[in-house]
Amino acid sequence: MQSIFWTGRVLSRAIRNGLSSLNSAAELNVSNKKHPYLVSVVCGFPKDIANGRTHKGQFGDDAWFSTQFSNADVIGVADGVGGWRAYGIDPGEFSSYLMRTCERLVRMGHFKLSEPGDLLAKSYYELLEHKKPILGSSTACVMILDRNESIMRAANIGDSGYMVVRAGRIVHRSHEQQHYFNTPYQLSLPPPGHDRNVLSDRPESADTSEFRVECGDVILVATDGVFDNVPEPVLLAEMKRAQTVAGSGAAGEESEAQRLQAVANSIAWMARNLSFDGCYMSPFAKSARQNGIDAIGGKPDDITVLLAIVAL
Amino acid sequence: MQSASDIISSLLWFRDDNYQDEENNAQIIEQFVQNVEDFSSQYGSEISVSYTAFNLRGPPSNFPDYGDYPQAFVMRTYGKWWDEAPSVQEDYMPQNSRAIPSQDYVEVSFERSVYPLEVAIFETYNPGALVRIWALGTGAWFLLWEGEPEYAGDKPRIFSPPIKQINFPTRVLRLEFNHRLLPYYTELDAVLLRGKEPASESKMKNNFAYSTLFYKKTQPQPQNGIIKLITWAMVHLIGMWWPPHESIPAALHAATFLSLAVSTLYFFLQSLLEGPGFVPLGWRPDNELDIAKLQYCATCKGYKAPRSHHCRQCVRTVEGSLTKGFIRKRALLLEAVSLHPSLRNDETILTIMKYLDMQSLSRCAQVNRHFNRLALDSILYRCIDLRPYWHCVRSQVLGILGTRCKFLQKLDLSWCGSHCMIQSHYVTKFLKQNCSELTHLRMNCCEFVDNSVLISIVDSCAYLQELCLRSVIGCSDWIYLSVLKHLRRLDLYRTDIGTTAAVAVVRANPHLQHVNVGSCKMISSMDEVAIALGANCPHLISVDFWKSYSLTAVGIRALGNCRLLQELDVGWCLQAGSSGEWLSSLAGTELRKLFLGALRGVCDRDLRALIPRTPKLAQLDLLGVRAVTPDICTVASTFQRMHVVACSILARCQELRLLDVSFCDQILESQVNEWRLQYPHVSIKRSFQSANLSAPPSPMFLAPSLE
Repeated sequence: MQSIFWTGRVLSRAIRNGLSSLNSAAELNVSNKKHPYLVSVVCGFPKDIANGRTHKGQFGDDAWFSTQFSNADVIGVADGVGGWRAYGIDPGEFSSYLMRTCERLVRMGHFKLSEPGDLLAKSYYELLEHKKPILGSSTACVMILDRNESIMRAANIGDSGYMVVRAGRIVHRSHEQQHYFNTPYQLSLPPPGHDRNVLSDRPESADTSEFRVECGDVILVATDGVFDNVPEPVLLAEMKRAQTVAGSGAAGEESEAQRLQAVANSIAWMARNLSFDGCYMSPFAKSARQNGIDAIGGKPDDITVLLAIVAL
Repeated sequence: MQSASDIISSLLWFRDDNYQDEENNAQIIEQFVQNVEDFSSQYGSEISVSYTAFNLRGPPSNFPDYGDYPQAFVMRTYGKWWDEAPSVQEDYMPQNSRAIPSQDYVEVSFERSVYPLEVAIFETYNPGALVRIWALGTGAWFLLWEGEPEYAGDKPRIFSPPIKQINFPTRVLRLEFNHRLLPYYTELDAVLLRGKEPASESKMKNNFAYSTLFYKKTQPQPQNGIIKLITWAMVHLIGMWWPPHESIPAALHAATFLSLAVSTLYFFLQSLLEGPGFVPLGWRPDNELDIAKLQYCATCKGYKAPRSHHCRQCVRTVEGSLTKGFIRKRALLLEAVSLHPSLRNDETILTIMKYLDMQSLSRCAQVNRHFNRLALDSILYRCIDLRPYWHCVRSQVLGILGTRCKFLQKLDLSWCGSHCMIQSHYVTKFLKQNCSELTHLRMNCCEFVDNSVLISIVDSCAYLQELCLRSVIGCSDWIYLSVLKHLRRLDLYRTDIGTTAAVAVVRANPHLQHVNVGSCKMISSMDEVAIALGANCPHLISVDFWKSYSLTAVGIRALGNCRLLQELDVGWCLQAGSSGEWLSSLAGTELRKLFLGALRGVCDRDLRALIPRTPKLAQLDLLGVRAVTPDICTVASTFQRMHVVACSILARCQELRLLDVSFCDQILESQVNEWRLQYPHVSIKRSFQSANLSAPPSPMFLAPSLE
C-alpha cells in the first residue's frame, strides 16, 4: 500500500519535471532561429604617417566605429575637414567625437533602428553638450543593419560613402553630396561669431536610403580617400574576392574574417599607393577635369576602409 | 498511524532532496545597474546622455581614468556655493535634520533580486559624497549603510562600505549624497551590486504538493503559532491513539486538554488586548522597606506598584506594561519636572519642546497624559519637515498629523511618497483641512503630486509665498498656478511646465523674488518668460535658467529691468551664448552670482563692459567660455596693461570667492596656479580630463565584431 503510494509520488514528480523542461526547451527553440549579422573589419592609413594619429578609432583626421545593440549592427565613418588646421583647430577632434558619441548612443540603445539619420543628428547635438568646446567639421556615413528584417539603412552626408556588392555586381552605391568641387556637405560646429563664414549643413540634410541585404553581401564603407583614388572596377574586383558562402560554421567564421581583413588591407594599400602616384588618372583627377581644373595623379588623403559581410 | 508516518517521512524525503541542496548552490552574482528609476538632480540636460543620471547604467565607461567626462553621472551642485548664494533655501525645521544631511539621491534598479553582500560605487572625479545606501523591501526601505561625507583626494576609487545583512532579497537601491566637502562636482561611473541569489524557483516547482510545508519551515513563527501547533498536534494524536468517542475516560481526557488549550489562548489574548488592570485601592507592599522606593498616589490613597501610573480618566492607578526604555525616559522627565518647579509651567515645557525633532515629539507624547497634550499642541506643528523621514512616511502619517496642525505655515514633504507610499487623495485631504494658512510648501521629487494635488494646493493655500515642486512630472495643468497671487519663491526645476503657464504665473505674481525654471524642457520660448519677469517683477533677486536652449539675448536684456537682481544662472543657454553683448544690459543690477557656463561666445570685451559695475560679484562661472583670455582675469605686471587694471576680474571684484575657468582653452594651468597663490581667498576651479580621446582605449572598448 505504501509502496504504491511512494511509486505514485515518484512517477508524478518525474512527469512534472518532464513537462516543465519541455516548456523551457520549446521556448529556447524559438529564440534559436538564425538572423543575419555583420562581420566587419577595418583598415586605413593617415595621410601623414609620421605625425598622424594611429589610435584605435582614428586614421589621421578620419574616424570610424563599429558596434551593435540587441538586434542591430551599426557601422560608420567620418572624415574631418582639414581646412580647420589653419585656424588652430584640430580637424580630427570633431570627427572622432562624432563617431565615439554615435557608438555610445548605440550601446545605450538611444537610437531608432529605422533612422540612421536620426542617430547622426542626435550625435551631432550631443556634441554641443560637452563641457569641452568641440569645434570643427566633418562628413559622415552611418549604416544600420536590422537583423530581424535583413534591411540595411544608411545615412550619408558629404563625400564619404558606401558600396554594396552582391554576386559580382554593384547593387547599391551612395552619392557624393557636394556644394561645389572639393567642398562636400559637412556637419560643423564653428566658433561662436563665425557662423556665417563657415559652411554648416544640418544633419537633417543627410541622404538616407534603405535596401534589403542577403547573406553574402559585401559592404564597403569608406571615406573619400578611397573613392577618389581607386576606380570602381578595381574596388569591385577586390570585393568579389571577399565573397564566400556564408554560414559555414564556427571554423569558417575565423577564416572568413581573416579573408575579409586581407581584402580590406589590400584596398587600403592600393588607395595609399595610388594617392601618391603622380601621373595616374584617378577618379579625383577625372572629376577635377570635369570641373575645369587641370589635375593629374592621386589625391593624398587619410584612408579608412570599413569592410563588412552579411553572414548568417 | 499511516498518515502520521507519511507526514514525517515526506518531511525527511523533502529535506534530503532539496533543502540542503539550495544552501550550497546559492549563487553569488555581480550586477551593474540596469535602470535608473529616479534622481533628484543632474548636470546634463533632459534630452542628452552627457553628464546625466542614465550614465550609471551598465559597466563603468571611464574608470580608472580620473577626470571630468561626459560619460559619468554628475549632480547639479557641489560644495557649499549654492548655500552661500542669494537663492539659498532654508530648512523649515532645522532641529529635524539628521546629523548627516543628504542633498541629492539617485535610485537604481538591477535585473535580479539578491541578498546584498556588497555595494560598490565607481567614482571617477572628486570621490567622497556618498552618505547612505538604502535597499527596497516590500513596501519599506531598509538602511544598509550610513557614513560621513569626506573628500577622498584626487584619485578615482571604488567605494565599498560595509553593509548590513538583510533577510529579504532586493533589486532596488537608493544612494544619498552630501557633497558639501567637495571642491568640485563629483562624478560617478557605475554601481555594482554583489549578492546571493535566493533559492531558485525551479526547484520549488517540483514539489508544489509540499510547498506549503516548506514555506512554513522558513518563515518566522509568531508566538501564538506555538499554541496553535501544539493544540493541533495534540488533537490529531488524541484522535489517533485515544479517540474520545471510544470510552468515557477518553472523552474526559480530551475535554480536559481542550479546555486547558482554550483557556491558554484566551488569557494570552486578554493579556495582549486588555492589560494588567488596576492597582487595589490603598495598596501597600508586603515588605515595609520597599515603601522608600515607591511613589504614593494621593487620589487612590495607596502606593503605586512598579510600572504603574495614575490615570485621570479611569481615576485609578493602572498597572503598566511599559518597557525599560520608557521607564528611564519617563523617570528622567518626571525627575526634571519634580526637581524644577518652574518647569511645571506649560509654557516653559512648550518652549523646550520647540527644539525637539518629530521623532522626539512623538516619544514625548507617549509619556503621560500631560505631555501628550503638550506634545500634540498645534503650536509645535507650525513648521513641519518630513524629508529626513522620507523612507517611512506613509499616507497614514498625514492623517495623524492632520489632527495636530491647526496653524500649519510651512510644510516640507520633499522626497516622500516613493513607490506609492503616499496616495494623492490623502495629500489632497490634508491640504484641504489644514493648509489654509500655509505660506511655504515644498514637494520636491514627490511622485504623488498630480493635477488633483496641484488644484488643491491652489484652492486651499491662497496665501502661499513659497512653492517648490522640483522634478515633479505628474502634472499637466500648470496653468492653475496662476491663481496664486502672493508667491515670492517659485522653484520648478526639471518640471514640464509650458510657456503659457509659466508666463501666466509670472504675470500673476508681481512679488516674485526667486524663480528657478532650469531644465524645463517644455518651455519652448524662454524669452517670453524672461520678458514677463523683467516687466512684472521689479523685486526679482535670483533667477535660474539652467539649460534653457530657447533663451536668447532678447530675453536676458529684458531682465536688466530688475534692478535688485543678485543672482543669474544662464549656464548652457547655447542660443544666448553665441555672443555676449547682452552682458552690458545687466550692469544696472546688483549681481553677486553670475553663471555663464558654456556660453562660448562671451569674450573679454563683454566682460569688460560688466565687471567694473558689479563690484559685489562673489561667484562667477566661466566654464568652457573659450574666448576668455587671461587678461580679463588678472592684470599682467607690465606698464602697458594698466588700462586693463580697471576691468580685470580678480583685481576688481574684492568679494569674489568662486571663479570657475574649466575648459577655457586660452587660460593655461600654470596661470591658474599663479592666481591661486596671488588671490588665496578666491577658489579658482579648473576641471580637466586626464586622458583625451587619443589615448590608448580602456578595456571596455570593443573590437570590431567578429562573431
